[in-house]
Amino acid sequence: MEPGRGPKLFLAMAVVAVSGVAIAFAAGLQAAPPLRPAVATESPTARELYVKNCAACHGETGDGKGTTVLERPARSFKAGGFSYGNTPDAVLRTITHGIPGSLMPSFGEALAEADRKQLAAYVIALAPPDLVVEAKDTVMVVRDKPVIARGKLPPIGPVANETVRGLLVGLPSGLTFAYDIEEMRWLGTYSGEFADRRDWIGRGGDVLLPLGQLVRAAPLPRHPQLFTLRRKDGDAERLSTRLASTARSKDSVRIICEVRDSLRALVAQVEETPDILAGALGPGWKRTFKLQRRQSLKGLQFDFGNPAVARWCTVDHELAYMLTAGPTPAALDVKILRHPKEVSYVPGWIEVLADADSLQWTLYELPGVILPAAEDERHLALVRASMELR
Amino acid sequence: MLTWLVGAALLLGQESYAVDRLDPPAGVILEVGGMDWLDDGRLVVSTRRGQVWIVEHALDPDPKAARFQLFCEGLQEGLGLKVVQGEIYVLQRAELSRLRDTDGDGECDTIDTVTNDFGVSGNYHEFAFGLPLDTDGNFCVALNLGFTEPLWWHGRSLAPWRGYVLKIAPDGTVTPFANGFRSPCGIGTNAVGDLFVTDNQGDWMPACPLVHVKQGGFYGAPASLVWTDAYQASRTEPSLTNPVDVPRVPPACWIPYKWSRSTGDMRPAPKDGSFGPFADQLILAELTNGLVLRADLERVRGEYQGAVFLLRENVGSAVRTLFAPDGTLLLGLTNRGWGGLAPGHGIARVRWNKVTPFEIRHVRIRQDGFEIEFTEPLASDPVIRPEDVDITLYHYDWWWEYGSPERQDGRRAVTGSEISLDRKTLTLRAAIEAGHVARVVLKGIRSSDDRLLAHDEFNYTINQLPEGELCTTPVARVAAPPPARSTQWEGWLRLTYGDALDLWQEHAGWKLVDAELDAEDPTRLVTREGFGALVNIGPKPGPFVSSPSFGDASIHLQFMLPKDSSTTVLVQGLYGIRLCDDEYGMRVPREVCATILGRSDPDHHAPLTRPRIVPGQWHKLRFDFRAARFDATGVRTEKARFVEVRIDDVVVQENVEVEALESERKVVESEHGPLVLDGSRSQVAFGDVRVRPVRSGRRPARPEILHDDDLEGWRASAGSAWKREDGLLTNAGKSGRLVSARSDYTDFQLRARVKISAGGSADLWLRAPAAPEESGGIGVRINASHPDPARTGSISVLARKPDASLGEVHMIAPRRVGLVGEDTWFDLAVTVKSSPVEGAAVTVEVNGARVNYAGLDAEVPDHGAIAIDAGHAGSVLEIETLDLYDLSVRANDPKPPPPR
Repeated sequence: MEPGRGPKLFLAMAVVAVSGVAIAFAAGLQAAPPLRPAVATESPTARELYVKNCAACHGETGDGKGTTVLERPARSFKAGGFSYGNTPDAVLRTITHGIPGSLMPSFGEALAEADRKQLAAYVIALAPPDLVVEAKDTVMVVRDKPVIARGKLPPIGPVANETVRGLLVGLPSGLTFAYDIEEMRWLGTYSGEFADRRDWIGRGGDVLLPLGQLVRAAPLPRHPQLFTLRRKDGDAERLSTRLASTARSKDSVRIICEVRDSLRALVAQVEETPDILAGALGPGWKRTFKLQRRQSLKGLQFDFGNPAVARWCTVDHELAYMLTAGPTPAALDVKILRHPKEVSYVPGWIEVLADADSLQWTLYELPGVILPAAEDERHLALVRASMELR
Repeated sequence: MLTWLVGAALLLGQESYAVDRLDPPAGVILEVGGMDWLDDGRLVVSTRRGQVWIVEHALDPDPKAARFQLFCEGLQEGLGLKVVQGEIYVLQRAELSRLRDTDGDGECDTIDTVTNDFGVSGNYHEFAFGLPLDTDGNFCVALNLGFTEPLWWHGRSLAPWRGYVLKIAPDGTVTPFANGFRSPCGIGTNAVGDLFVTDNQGDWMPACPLVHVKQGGFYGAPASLVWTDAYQASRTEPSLTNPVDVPRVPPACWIPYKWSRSTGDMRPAPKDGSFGPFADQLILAELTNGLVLRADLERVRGEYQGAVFLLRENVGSAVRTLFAPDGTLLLGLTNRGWGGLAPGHGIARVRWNKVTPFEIRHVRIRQDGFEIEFTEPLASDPVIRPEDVDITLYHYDWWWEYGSPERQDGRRAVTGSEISLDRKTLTLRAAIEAGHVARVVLKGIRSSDDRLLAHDEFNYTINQLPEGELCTTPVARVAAPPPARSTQWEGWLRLTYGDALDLWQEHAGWKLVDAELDAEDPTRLVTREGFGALVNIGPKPGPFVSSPSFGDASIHLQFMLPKDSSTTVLVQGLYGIRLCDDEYGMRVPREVCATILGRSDPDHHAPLTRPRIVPGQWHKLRFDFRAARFDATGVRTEKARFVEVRIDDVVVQENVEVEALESERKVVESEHGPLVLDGSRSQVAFGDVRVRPVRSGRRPARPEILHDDDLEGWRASAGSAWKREDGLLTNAGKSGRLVSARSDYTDFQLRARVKISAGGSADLWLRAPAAPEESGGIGVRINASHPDPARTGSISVLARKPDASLGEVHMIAPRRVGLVGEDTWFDLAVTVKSSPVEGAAVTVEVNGARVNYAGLDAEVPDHGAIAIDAGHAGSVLEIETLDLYDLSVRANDPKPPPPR
């Protein structure tokens, strides 16, 4: 999804007006959330589900030619191509979570799991049978638990060089987060299959290759350090952020880092949890940061980066900041929705104001979503509702 | 009875130690990088694929009883593993990690970074090896150098501490400990906790050494010195080619190349003798030859030195060792990317059969010879004759070339011998000298129960004699740097370098893959995605036929065969050399490897000496061939001849005349023909196919009309820096064109001797526009290692459109195989000729072989200038000679002879 496709997308969405079809985007706030049948009838057949939920975009016959006018054509199942693999697991995941950065919405809330499984089987059956592809020996797959992989990453987005110490976090929802372990910088987020270990071939030493679609890449950082410390005299001391550990439970991943000053004294421990966000506004992701104090947290500044990094920021679960692109690509308009006591937004940074024992903020990104120019209570209500949904 | 049994079992000296393999789950490739025991007796294994497996029942007599459970995945390699106080530590490529299962579900859920405070540049060769503890509880880690293009044989330290041994404290603090390492694959401690490393032969490593690592020591490979204060202060890098003047710690033991090409790690044999009568001696893993070695070291003048022995062959490509409490030796196997004796993955178990082998247990040096202690008493009346003992001394060259041959310093006669009262110790007296390795072979020595020695040779590294002045001459001696590499392959064409199939006109069923022997079935090869070998994977592999034809030529290639298999190398498609393994050679004795084939069995020409061809191992074939000679009427005047054939550098055939074999393709004998590799007999892997055509010296009949001195009137484009320097014409690193004075050349042959720099690219333009600022004509590419895939010999056309504007460059005949390397002189001949019937055509010859041809359509101008275009700044093109021969047909020309 390139930036700048917004206005056209908006137009395209405005055309959507098929009754009962669940395509929910914030565009113009016109599309309604998908409807559930008011009364439970006999379970619908796969065909009925398909016609009701999928055909508008993917066509009655699955040929990708639906009645909806889309910026980018919907997948033709008859041609056998599936964005993220044609295994029942992969297709179920796509239906459940959607494809962030594309027009494929998530049906995790709208459809029961049994229905989604039926649909998955149905659309796979539409594809020519001999196009089923064996997973390559070197491909790492994410199934029902997150997978963390370390390796050398290829150039990602604006980063021209390989990332020699890289980390990939693959979630069952199909999202993969890429990090540079030096300073633990987020490099970008992919959607789709996980990764191909090219370093399992020959002598080794080649890259860990993300296989998904790059939904968004982080822009080049303005500073090498993720954290700085604003001292009383106003000077900023650069801190170093080092990976301490990665932890994986059955449904989440925690990346734990230590932030140290120039004397290598520990200033704070930071725990990041990336996760998918799938709600009324379409699929996206969030990154939650929990800080634990070691020395004083006051004055600690976290590099927000550039406008494209996140759209919203909540502090301790309350919506605090909303970011939109400003008049120039480098500018950032920040709407302050509330003034948290704990942090403040200074251009490019979140700065900690109070010396709390712990602190939490979350950055949200919904790459397919257009933000309206004006603040609107209904919109904000939708945004708040989205934040709470997984 | 016992004697008979033992004697029978020890025929080959192998069966004192039985070998079997654990059985991982189907489809699991266990490329072992590290092993250790958990406190509960389970085995933990880390692999090159970043997995950690926990194995139950690893020591059960039935290897199939082992149960494998995946504990962790997603690591970046894992070439060292250690269990410390119940916790699993793995050394990844870029991080030392602690793996924890906090929720007790049997799977790792937390990976702690103990440290990642050592440099990685991203170079593919930057392995991190580990993971012993020193006596203070610090982790010991050894870091590989990086190897970069184009001078890939020079190791370089591209990030901090590459080429160092590091100590890592439990809190993650990294301290550099010693430097001068190249590829320190094996790191471990001996029975008293002293730290040892094995390095791998290569630049500045004449053979594989076993070194005792001491703090601050420099061990020979200079690249890592870049991080020392001296080089940091001067901001320079150590010379890649000239010896540095830094004192080296001599290795405790040099391992002969015939025994080890890639040594893995080592462990001390159990004190209690459960692994045989070699308590506390170091047992080493060997990857390429797939065997286990033993090193018996002693302290002489305060430093370790000693002898190395073979212990057990045919174990598979072993790189990691681990002893079990019951004396079983576990070997972790892998050879991916390097090749080695199959199997190339898995875990082998080596167990002593509890019968004391008859071996040399210890060797102790004396001022005047050696004291050799045996495991069993010698026969009661052993007559040790001087001819039964072979002592030769040798040393190595310490230089930048890849390894060094043994420099032989001659035999040392045994001047006296004594046998101890208990008949277990033999003292040999001979004039040995420090600064050498002594190779001692004992022949015909028998034990009191009439056994021969299981292994009759040891190689003892004599750094010092027990007394006298300390010797200052190292075994690996400073030697004058050998000639630069680029001259080694001058005149050769690499036919499979890069795009391996590009210059082969027939290759049905052949594919570029990685190949190794199938561990389950050694008569087959197993292939995987990769670039290591050309294999006839099928389904119906045809012959592998080169596009160019060759006359007199030298040919070099590497080959690898599975068990009981064979192939044929057919020179010109007609003259055959049989290549086969030992098994096939035993079954078909008339066709051992290197047999030159006759039309029928009696005409086969056996080799002078029989080469030993091991299934699954790569071997080298090199031969010089002289084509048949014919007179003007086509009658043969001289038979074709194999002038010399070598297998693994040993001459096996000399001056053998041959008749052409029956050819399915109905080809008749002539002066030229393609190189054909047979794929129909068995699976076979080929690699690194090179040809050096022997030039006939014949030139086109026309007198030359342009000589290399006559560049008067040639014009250069603005901003270029073309000049003559030391007799060479060069663009001097700047882009720009040099155009001939005349622009009326029509049909001609242009011959040049040229050299292009690493990463450089240039084009010769023919029938080019007269003005230096204009482009156009027929382009012939000179490119060895510039990223553009169109390599030397590629043909392009840049024509004018009907409206006279410049069109686009059309690469009409790309040549993607890397025929000639960078910085290597080669001969280029480009012929441009129009004929009324066929139209215009351009032919390109490199080093005397025709490697490309293209017909040209009407867009191409019918005359023009010659232009040399150094396409981009940084390319350095050098031209030694530049000659042009006029081929335009004139009215008075004699008619050419009809084609044969």
